[in-house]
Amino acid sequence: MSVSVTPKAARQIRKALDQRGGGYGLRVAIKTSGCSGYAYALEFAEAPSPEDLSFESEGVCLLVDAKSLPMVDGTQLDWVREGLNEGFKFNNPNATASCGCGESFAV
Amino acid sequence: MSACQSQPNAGSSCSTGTAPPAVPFTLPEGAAPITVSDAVVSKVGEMLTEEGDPNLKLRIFVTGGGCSGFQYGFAFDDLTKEDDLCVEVGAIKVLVDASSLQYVMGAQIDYEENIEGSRFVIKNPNAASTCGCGSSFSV
Repeated sequence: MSVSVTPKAARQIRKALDQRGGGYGLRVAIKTSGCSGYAYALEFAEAPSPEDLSFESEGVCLLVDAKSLPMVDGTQLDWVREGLNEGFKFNNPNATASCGCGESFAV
Repeated sequence: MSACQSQPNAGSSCSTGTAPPAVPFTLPEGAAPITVSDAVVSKVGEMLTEEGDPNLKLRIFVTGGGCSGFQYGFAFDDLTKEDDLCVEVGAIKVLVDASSLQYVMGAQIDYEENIEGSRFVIKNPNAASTCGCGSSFSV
C-alpha cells in the first residue's frame, strides 16, 4: 500500500513547509463527513506518530495513519489550478463517487 | 461537477438546509449589493500584476451545478456587459451580471488561504444550504 504526490504537489508541499519554518512532512487522514461520506484532512506533521506509515514521493514525506490507509491506498495527490482557485486534488482509485469540489468522497 | 447527484446516500454536510424555501433575501436599505474583503482586493491586485493587464475585472457568476444545485464561478474579464453590476473597491473592479446578482445579493466575497489551497469564497445570505467546500449552494 502506498500514496504518492505529483511533482507539482511536491513543490507546493515543500513551499508550504518552508513558509511555516520546516516540518517532517504532510499527514493525509480520512474523517467521516462531507456529502459523500468521507473527507480528506491534511496537516503538517513535526514527526511521525506511532500509528503512522511514512511514504516518500518526489522528495517529500507523506504520513498516513494505519486506519486511513486502506481508503487512500494508491492515491496520488496533485496540486491543481481551477479557474482562479488552486488547491490539492486527491486522485483516489478507491473513491466510487465524489463531491463536486472533490472534498468529499465515497468508497 | 455533478458527481454528487449520483450518490444515493448523500447526506450530512450537503443537506444542512432542510428548512422550506425561505422568504427571498431582501437587501437592507442603503446596504451594498455585494461587499468585497481586503484579502480579495490584495489578491486580485497581485493576480492582475501577474497577468500584466490592470484593466481586467473580477467577474463573479452563478451557474447550475454542484451538489446543492447552484455553483459559484470566478473569472477575469476585460469586458463589462450592459446588465453588469460593477463594484469598485480599492484598485480593483468586481462585476456581477444581473441574473447572477439575484442569487448573491448582499453577499460577502472573501479570499481564503489554508493548507488545502487558496480560493475565492462567498458568504451568501440567499443560500439555504451549502456544500462542504462552499462551492455549491441551494436557495
